[in-house]
Amino acid sequence: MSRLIKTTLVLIAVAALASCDNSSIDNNELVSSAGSSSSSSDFSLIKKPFDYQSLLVNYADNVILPTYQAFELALTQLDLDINAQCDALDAQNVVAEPDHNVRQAFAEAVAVWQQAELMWVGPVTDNNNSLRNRIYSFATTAQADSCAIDITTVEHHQETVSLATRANTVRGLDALEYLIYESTLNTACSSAISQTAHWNALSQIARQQQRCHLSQAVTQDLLASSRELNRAWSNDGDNYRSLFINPNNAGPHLKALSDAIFYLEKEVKDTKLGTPLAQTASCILEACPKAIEAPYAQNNGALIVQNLKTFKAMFNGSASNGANGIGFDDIIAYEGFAEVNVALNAKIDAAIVMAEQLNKPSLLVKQVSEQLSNKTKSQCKLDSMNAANGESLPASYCALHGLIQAINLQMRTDFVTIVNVDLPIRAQSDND
Amino acid sequence: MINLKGRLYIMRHKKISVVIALIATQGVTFNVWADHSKNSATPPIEEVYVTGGADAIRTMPGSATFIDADAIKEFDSTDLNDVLGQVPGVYIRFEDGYGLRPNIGIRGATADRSQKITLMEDGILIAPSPYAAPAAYYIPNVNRMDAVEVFKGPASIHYGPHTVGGALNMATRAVPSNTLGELSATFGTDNYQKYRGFYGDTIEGDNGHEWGYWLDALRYSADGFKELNQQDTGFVRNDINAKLQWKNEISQYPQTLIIKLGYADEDSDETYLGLSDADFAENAVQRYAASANDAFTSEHKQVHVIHAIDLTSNLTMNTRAYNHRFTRSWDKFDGFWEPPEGCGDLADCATDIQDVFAAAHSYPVEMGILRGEVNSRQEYEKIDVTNNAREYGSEGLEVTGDYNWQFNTIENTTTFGVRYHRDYVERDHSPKAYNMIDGQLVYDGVERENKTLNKSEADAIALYASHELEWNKLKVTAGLRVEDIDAQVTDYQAFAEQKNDAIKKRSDTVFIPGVGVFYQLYDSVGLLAGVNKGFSPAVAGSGAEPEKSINYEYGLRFSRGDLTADVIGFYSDYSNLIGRCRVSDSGCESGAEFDGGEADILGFEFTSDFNIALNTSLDLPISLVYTYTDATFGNSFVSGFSQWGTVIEGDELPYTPNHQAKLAVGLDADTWSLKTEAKFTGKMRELPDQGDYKAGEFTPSYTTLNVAAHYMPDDNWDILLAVENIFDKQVIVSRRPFGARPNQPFTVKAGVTYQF
Repeated sequence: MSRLIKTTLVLIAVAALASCDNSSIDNNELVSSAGSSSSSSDFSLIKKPFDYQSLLVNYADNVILPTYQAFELALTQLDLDINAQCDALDAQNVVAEPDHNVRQAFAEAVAVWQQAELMWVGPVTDNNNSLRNRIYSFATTAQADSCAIDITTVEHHQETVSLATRANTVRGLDALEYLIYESTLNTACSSAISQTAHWNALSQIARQQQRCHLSQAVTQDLLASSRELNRAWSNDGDNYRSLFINPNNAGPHLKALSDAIFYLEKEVKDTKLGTPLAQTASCILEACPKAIEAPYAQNNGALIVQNLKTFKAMFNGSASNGANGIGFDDIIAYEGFAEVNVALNAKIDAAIVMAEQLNKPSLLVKQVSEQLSNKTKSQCKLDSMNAANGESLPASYCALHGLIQAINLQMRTDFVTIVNVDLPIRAQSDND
Repeated sequence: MINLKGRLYIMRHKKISVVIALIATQGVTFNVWADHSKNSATPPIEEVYVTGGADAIRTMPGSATFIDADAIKEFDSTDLNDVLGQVPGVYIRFEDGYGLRPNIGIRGATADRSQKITLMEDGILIAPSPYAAPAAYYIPNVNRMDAVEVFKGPASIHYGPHTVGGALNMATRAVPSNTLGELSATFGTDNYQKYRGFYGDTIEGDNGHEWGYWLDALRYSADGFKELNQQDTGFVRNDINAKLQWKNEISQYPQTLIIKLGYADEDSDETYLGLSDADFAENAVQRYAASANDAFTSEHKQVHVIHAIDLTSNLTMNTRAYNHRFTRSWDKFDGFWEPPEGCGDLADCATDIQDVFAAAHSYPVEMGILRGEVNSRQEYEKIDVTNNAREYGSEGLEVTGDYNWQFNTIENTTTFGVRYHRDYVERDHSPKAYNMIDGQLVYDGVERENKTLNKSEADAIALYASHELEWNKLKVTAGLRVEDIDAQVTDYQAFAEQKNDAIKKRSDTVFIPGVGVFYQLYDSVGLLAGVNKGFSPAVAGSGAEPEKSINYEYGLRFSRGDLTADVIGFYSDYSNLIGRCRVSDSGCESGAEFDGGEADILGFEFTSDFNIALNTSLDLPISLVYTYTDATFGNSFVSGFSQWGTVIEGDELPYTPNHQAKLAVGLDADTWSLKTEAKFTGKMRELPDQGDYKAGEFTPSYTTLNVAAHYMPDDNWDILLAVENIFDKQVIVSRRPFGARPNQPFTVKAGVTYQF
């Protein structure tokens, strides 16, 4: 009744106060905290949200999955060629020259994987990059080891080895590289290693046969890993793809994609170039030839070209067939910084042009060796800095290092700011 | 001539000699009308409604629309949406095709579950919980109504709490003065069946006492027009109502007492799950296997007690008491199961169903599971079927008075009223997860925690006072409404965990003034103008501001002979628009509210009726209704409400077409009639936006053509043949709640009514 009286009194006196409504709220929150409206402090900056779902779908369907599928296809061809090679070795029982088809198929598989290296997203990164390291262990603490591979070769000859239980030192593309490209048939192990004590005494054809047989097993193991990777993403498999493209997960997945393309900085610039050229703290000598990627195939230029082209594709969201899709560049343009796209793409193109000029067998090995011999570490650093500053220099891996550094500088500043992502943990300090 | 419409009218009213206005609402007088027919040979008096009837609204100082029983009977409508198609300024968002739970908006107020309009039956708030949870999951069936009245502008402030858009009143039949019975049966496509029985009478006693009653039983059902794996997708609804009446018009204090009892139930296979656009294009009426377990059941009970007394020749007092209970259970597809344990660092494992439909081609697995073509393998690929069980209660007491007096040549009517109202909803939303296996939903057997277990309640005192003066050609009405609302929500789950925020409260006191003017400029032309405050309360526990606006309207009414034409412009200046989250909205909790800030809704409504007498026994009635609306947000903001999302100033409001129209042409003869109507609904955005319409974010414009024919061999029989959507035009009328859904397809129904 008191409320009625109160309200009545209010009504009588209210005409002039008609607009003076009153609301009081205890625990003035919504039923759900999710219910609160957020508003920008500067309304003029508000615009329709970027279509992150389409971006994620594009990366999944047009960039990442085609790469994984291409890798499996390449491995299937490699498997066929290695089987043919082994069959020929077993049948002919004569020492064979390096099999061109096998090397060609291997190079193709590696080239595709070098694209996938900039796609460390999702299942390939589970358990500290377990699957990635199983496929390719370069730049890890358990990368391929020639002696371990020799031991496994012998053991595999004696009794079929299940590589699934073996360390990554005898698995993956880098192990296969040793088996396919190592020209000497002698063991890499010391004589103290009992398993390989009699290896060098074997006939050349026997050693070729045994290495070929392990190549078959490693390729099969790679195929299994590749299928596992595709199955993890596949609609018919574990359907990780759905988790990846879920717009509610756009934040972490955009960050994962961003982290992935920082491969260019950490793995390409620092590990593949910087350390062999003594431009990082990991190499305190004039140069570190042992740190070179692909020490047997020595096709470093080709690998870096793949990395750079994939970086460009990942940045622009381009499909493997070259079709432009929604990518980071679209976020940057959406945010109103299209000129950053122009600048970054120009830098990437410049790096690709130089990398293609350097794409000659063993050229990196040669330049690193010369630097070691000539003690030109400082000159290399100068070339890198000058290239990074836009100076036009003759093609060299030191200059390429600088061109990539120029890309990285813009990635660390403009890119992370505009796209609004943090630097990957592994890139939070610069190794230069 | 007395054409069919007139005969229908007589058929209904020939035994009704006294009609009591039952539908005065808070703040509106309730009058007892004399029994003219007893003392004269004049036709039975026309029922008097809140508006005063079809003729009275011609001079109302505010816009209103009156739909009489004949219009409802024209197509034997059971779908309120169909009936409201002839009301300008009313927007419908179709959902199930049968209008089981209509989405009605007025002048830009959101149509979502009719939550922003004041819904009444005989002037009594009839939504299950109009204050604490306004989404109207129950609406009386229009088929048993005698009239539907829609009020907008200043007229709507009489009927709170929602005054931003307007009010809708459904008037039940009056008690007949003599025996009146009616039996009807209608059959149609998709096994549509409707049966209705009505019987009423009045018994005259000594000393002026009269006791009257009617009983009304309605049952209608259909197998549903959607196709689902050899399952029905239809419904059965039963409606049983009784009205008991005592009155004495010759006592010292003439008075009337009416008791209304009502029971309604529904058992339907209705779902929120629609289709992807591609699947819609392939077969608009298919339903996915994932909706196979969806079922809605409800019960509604009501008691209305209405008393009117003339204390003096000038003062009439009305009292209304009401009590409603509504329970519902809805086992309903609610997306893919989100495992509580999560997926590592990811925010969500399961993809929100709205996101799936927004890019269906990108989700082949999810779409395959929905269709029953792919088996669930992951936890987050299970189907979430949640039983949204709720119990609603609503009750109140209202007293209004109406005092008529004269000052010189000025006729005055002072009206006042007070209403105490309380309502509540108890939500118990319990989920189950089902694996899709070989096209069948298979329960995983795991007990799950409730999604929602709470009670939202509100009590409100509403006061109303108004004054109307009539001086020569001028009529002015000014009024003020006061709503004092206390609301509370109790989260039982948080309460059990002894959390501090388990109980949240809010109080609002709001003053809602309004003034309207009508001036009869010429005999054939009247001008009207009005302004009122719009208000819609925020629900219990909400931190949002109440919805508020200033509404203006202005226009003219033209009437000459058989031609009437009204043009009324409107402008609703919202200072705050509210968005209310429902279960079908992603990213928010059911009941949560969101401030939308300023919005401007303006437009005009055109209504015209013209009757051409072709000869002495044949008329050609023509009517046209058109509404133009421009509804835009007035500021930019980012909202957690998924129906809004990111809003830029100037974005158009969703589900408000720029254009909608209805043209009806008929032929009325003595024993037959034919009516053809074309309904046009313009494109509607489904998300706030401006400029070009983006694919997947709007519903297309469409026109449907309906025809109804009646044959009445005598005063007792009425035979109906109606064809709706003749060209079977099916388009996406909405992508909410979950996916695209069509309007009703080509439908034929035939019925017969016998009165005795």
